[in-house]
Amino acid sequence: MQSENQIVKMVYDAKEDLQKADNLIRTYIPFIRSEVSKCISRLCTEQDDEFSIAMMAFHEAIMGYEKKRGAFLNYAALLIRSRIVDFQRKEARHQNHVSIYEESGTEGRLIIDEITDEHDYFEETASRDATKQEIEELALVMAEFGISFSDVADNCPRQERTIKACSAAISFAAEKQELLDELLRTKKLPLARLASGSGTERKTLERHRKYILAMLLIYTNGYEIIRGHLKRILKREGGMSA
Amino acid sequence: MKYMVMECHPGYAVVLSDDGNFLKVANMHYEVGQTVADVIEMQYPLPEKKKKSRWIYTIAATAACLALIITSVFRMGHGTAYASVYMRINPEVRIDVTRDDLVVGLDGVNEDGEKLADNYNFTEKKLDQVMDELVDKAADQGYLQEGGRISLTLDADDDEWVVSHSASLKDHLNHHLEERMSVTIEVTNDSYKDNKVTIPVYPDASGYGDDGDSGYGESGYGNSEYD
Repeated sequence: MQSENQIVKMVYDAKEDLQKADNLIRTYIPFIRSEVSKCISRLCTEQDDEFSIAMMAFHEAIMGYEKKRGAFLNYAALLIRSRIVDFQRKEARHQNHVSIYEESGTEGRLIIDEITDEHDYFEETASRDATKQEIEELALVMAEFGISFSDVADNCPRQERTIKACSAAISFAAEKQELLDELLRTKKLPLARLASGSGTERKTLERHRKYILAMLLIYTNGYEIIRGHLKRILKREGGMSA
Repeated sequence: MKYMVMECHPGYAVVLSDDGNFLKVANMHYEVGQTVADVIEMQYPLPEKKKKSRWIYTIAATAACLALIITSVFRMGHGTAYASVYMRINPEVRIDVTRDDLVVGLDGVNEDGEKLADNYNFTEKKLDQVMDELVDKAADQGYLQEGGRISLTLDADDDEWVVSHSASLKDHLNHHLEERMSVTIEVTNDSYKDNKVTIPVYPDASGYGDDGDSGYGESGYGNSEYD
């Protein structure tokens, strides 16, 4: 059993290093399962949705922990219980819905068996592999700029006004191929040109630099599938070619 | 909304929504490249600085309430009418003032007074200034002329205020008008007004005659039978 001081040190290290955070979560999987079992009053498996929720809650506990909150594991257990209760409340709203795994009433067949399945699983798997390959390539290019998807998620604008401001800058740059080429060549975001061209404040661009960088990299050549997924934002911004 | 799974970790996954947002969500056994329709978003822990600022908001709100209460109390004492000055030329007006002699109200008592007070802005003005300007306005409109009379009646619960202002207001008006015209200024206070007694004075009544006759004839008391 590790002493509280050791755990606290590991948590503080994990706050700064994503790899250490992942390792800490893996180390405490038995603890997480135990807490989930207490909440759902049965043995928890790693296939349970509650287990996934608890793993995320443990990550939140690492990021949000401070010494004055008391013992880390007590804090993590509190957060896990809280998130699972939230999840169960959300799920309770769907209680009156019929599950596709229920019997349809005719000859004991399940509803899912009677639904026409138009999915082409071979095509889906091929598409997913292609998407995965594209994402991995993008992740490698992003690593050259020193950012990961987790960094981008932390840097993503949340307020509607900021989202619009960043979208304006992305729209402006996406239509300027020479600007995207310059970005790839110099490995630097041309903030001054983005600010003057899009009318977005330079301060806003600097604050969300990683997010804008990731979006502009997507608009460079070679990420058609991801750009296809972003068709909603393309329609919203108007005039941008995928 | 659709979400493309971009990165997977034991504790969470990063997804890209089709409206261009990168989100950290619960990793429900996702694989990179998968597209999902429903996600459970991670709740970002509030940094300590933000939590402090919450306290600051609370303290600021409390301070604002206190300031409001103190200002209200102050205004109750200093923003409402503390005394009134009735100024009678022929037009008669009532000037309401605060403890600090700031004018907070002006009403015409009679019809001419209403005309005199009409369109006059007394905001942020002291009693002296308002009286000066109203007297000037009355003179301009022909209500006050050479040899005229201005009567001031002071009405306040605070006798000290009445006493201190009786002399100062009269002196001030005298000084203000001394180069323009000669008028008679009299000051009374409200309690005197209520108890005012009018004594008729006849032109020849400077004395009661050298013989000391009152003019009422014999009283008849000399014939009293009590002698």
